[in-house]
Amino acid sequence: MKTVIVMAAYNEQGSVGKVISDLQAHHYQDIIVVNDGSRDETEEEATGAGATVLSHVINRGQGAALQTGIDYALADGADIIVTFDADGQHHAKDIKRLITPVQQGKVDVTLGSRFLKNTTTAPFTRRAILKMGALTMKLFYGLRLTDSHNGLRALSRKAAESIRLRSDGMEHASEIIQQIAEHNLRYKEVPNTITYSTYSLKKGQDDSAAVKIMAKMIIDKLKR
Amino acid sequence: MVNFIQILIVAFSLFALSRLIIRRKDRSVPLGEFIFWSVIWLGAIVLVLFPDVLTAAADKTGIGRAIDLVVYTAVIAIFYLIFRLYVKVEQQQQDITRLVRKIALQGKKKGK
Repeated sequence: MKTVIVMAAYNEQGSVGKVISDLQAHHYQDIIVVNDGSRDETEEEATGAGATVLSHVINRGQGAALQTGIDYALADGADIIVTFDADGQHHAKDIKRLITPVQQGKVDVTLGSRFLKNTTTAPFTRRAILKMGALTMKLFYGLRLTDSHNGLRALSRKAAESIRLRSDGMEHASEIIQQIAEHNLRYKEVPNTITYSTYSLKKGQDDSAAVKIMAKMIIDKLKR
Repeated sequence: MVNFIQILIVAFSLFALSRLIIRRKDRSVPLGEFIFWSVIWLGAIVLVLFPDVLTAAADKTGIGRAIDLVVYTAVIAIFYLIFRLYVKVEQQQQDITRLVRKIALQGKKKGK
């Protein structure tokens, strides 16, 4: 089964190269990096590290970048697509555990959860907000998750074909959950480790973004 | 009988109406918009010359002061217009992303 890693990268110079090398060291050779209108050397660094690089001429947001990567991966014959962060928060060694249930045909989607084994160094406020997010997921979409905004996921080909992200920004994480529910995809959470460094914390969403995402989710629900 | 403000508003509304009609003749204003603005300007003229119309409407709706009715109506209209704008902007954002995605995927087919 062909496993393709898809990463969205926006100004990740200095990080993306290392992440790609690490993935290759774990024997993942099909790596797609979507350069989301970076203003630095992200594209060159990713290309130099040996990834396939697609480029958005202007920044559209992580959701849009991932969808572009997914489209390309599907066209390229991927059977399993893994979404992976370019900022070093994710670990390549977690991928095996992530894709196994999909390879075995048990589920269509696996979602990483940093809370399953309590392997996180997340700051308290962020944990609190994420917990609230998970509760919201249950209320809105009926999915019981421990971690609703973890960027590490594995999608079967069928899942990737069914899911069409229309949101460009950070709310795409909620949209994926919503579409999993809508298309009745089988899913499962697996534990993974998220490493917070000062670098990635700076790049992550600030906690107020969670409120904005909630608002968008509500409006979206009203529109349907 | 008529005071200065009334004359001013009526004069301005007539002026705005005339400009509107000219642009409509030029077809540079779509029909919907033309009707919308005509109603506004004609409405302004009528309300200014016959303020009792507004007071009667205000009494009917149980609101009291005519100006309150105007303000409430305006607020509702503004909310509605903003919502329409929001939907339009969201659609545009999605359209832009589709374009950017197409460019990205095409660039890939030609390049590597």
